Amino acid sequence: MIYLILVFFSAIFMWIGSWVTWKLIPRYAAELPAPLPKWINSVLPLIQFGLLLFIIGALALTDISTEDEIFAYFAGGVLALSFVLQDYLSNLFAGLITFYERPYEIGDWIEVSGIYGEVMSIKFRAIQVLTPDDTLVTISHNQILGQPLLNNNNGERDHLCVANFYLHPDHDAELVQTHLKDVALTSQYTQLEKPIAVAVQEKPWGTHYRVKAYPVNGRDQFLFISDLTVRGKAVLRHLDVKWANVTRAVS
Amino acid sequence: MWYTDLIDQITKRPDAEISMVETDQLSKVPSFLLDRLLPDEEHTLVIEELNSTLSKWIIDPKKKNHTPVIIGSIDGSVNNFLRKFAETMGWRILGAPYESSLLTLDFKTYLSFLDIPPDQPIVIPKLEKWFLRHHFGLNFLREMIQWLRTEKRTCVIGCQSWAWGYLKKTMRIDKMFPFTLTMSPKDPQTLNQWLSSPGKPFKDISFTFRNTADGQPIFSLDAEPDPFVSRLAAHTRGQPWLAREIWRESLLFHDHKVASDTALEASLKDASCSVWIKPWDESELLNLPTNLNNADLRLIHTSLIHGGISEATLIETFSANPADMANQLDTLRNAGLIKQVEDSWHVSTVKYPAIRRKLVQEGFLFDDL
Repeated sequence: MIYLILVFFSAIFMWIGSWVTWKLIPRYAAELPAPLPKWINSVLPLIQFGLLLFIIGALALTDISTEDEIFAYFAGGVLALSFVLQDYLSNLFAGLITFYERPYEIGDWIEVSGIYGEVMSIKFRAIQVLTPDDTLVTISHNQILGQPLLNNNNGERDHLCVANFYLHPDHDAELVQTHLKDVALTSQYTQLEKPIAVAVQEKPWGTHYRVKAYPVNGRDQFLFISDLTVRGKAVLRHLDVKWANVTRAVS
Repeated sequence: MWYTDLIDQITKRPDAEISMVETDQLSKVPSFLLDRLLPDEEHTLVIEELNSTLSKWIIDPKKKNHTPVIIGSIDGSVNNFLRKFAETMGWRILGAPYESSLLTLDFKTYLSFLDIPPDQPIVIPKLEKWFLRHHFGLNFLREMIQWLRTEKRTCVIGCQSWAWGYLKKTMRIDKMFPFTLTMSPKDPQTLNQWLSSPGKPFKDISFTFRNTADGQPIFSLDAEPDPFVSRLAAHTRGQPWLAREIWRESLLFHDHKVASDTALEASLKDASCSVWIKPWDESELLNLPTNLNNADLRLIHTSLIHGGISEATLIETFSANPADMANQLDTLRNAGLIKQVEDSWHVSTVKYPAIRRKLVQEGFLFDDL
């Protein structure tokens, strides 16, 4: 009976511990100066893992009197957990490898298995990624480990964005390149501490311009690319530059 | 409540000359009195430094080849100084065209309207008004700079610090004009001495600035600066004009129900009067709204780099819906973050240090002052 009460209070303790770990700590960590929020968020899975081990250990030790009993309980517990939680454990160990290697952190924009989005949380078994369409996707660590992972910003606040323009080959390329650079320089979203470049490549169907710049905030990447595209088109219309006729090139 | 009264009794210092004052008994200092309590706006702190440096530049033939650029803060003190400098020296002031013309007018046409003699030295007090953050907005300034370099004209330029930071990144303007002057920040001791010297004191009334927490005087000639002044110096990064504005907003007074300084003089003749300041941590001037988002910060940042900007230009540069822009401006004004001066929107002076800190924290380009 006492043991059941202990289990009950352990569950409550675990629930409170999870709430503090995943809700309270991140909220207050966000108020701290960089890079403390990043460091604190990266150890949250460890904190929860530690809590779980503490509770399991405390429960096990309440009903033990000899060394043989300790060994028996421990062996039995490990065996039971291994069968029941084999998938969970494999994800857990994959998570520990992730924690050690740090291929991504909370706030990073990653692409894995065709899913692109911002890492919102990194937990024991899986991570949660918020896509640009506001969909929260849960991806297990095991699934990530076996696939190529693309990390757009790798812990930085900003990451490279590219706006593409496809123009008819008959135009003054130097003039277009200069004006497109001005489009990037004067965007309200541009991070001017990072480099801005306009790459030009000639193709069979025309000229491909890639305006490459960084936004101040990575979450504005889509607004940024839209801004570059809309204002870039306004500039090109002003210069009376024709668009590439891609259908003709395809045929 | 009885327990708050008990706590007040326990924490009250019995040996304080003036006991703790209830801040709800205090109100803002009337404007006619503020002029008497504040140090002079155009203090020698700023003027002497600039005069000395420019005087050396004028007589040095080597330095004459370099156009000096005076980088000032957002208060406009550099603009005022340069206008007086131009009047004293008999130089021509070259002002920027209207904001709306910067996208449509070319510099040669503008120059033809001005009719400037070939060897006339010029002063450009507000370089921040010569460009817009728009895909066509940098061309006018580029043409003007090219004209200056071609003409090799004697010129002094003033530029607000946020605009200078922006132009450094977009046009590498610091390579074109390497000779720059900025005001050195003032330490707490200098600010302490300046703030304690009202520009136009009363003849027969002495005022003492006191802390509301313990009633002690803020200024004591032999001691280190009060913690409030030290925090003020750190918060304002040693900018005297900014310290003066925050100091101004922090002053509180017992309402004597008088409407003018002559009436006040009459009521307080030969008396000593206290002006109160809340402790730094209790000031509401330092806080920003919690719901400030990136769109608001971008608007505020745009206002800073232009030294104030009109609503019409904001709509043009942001490609915004006019109704949405009007709503956003009203929201920021009601939050005390921006203010409208004629038709131009400027960042609030007293909120400026907190705004600057927030912009830096969020990764925006910032100035060097």
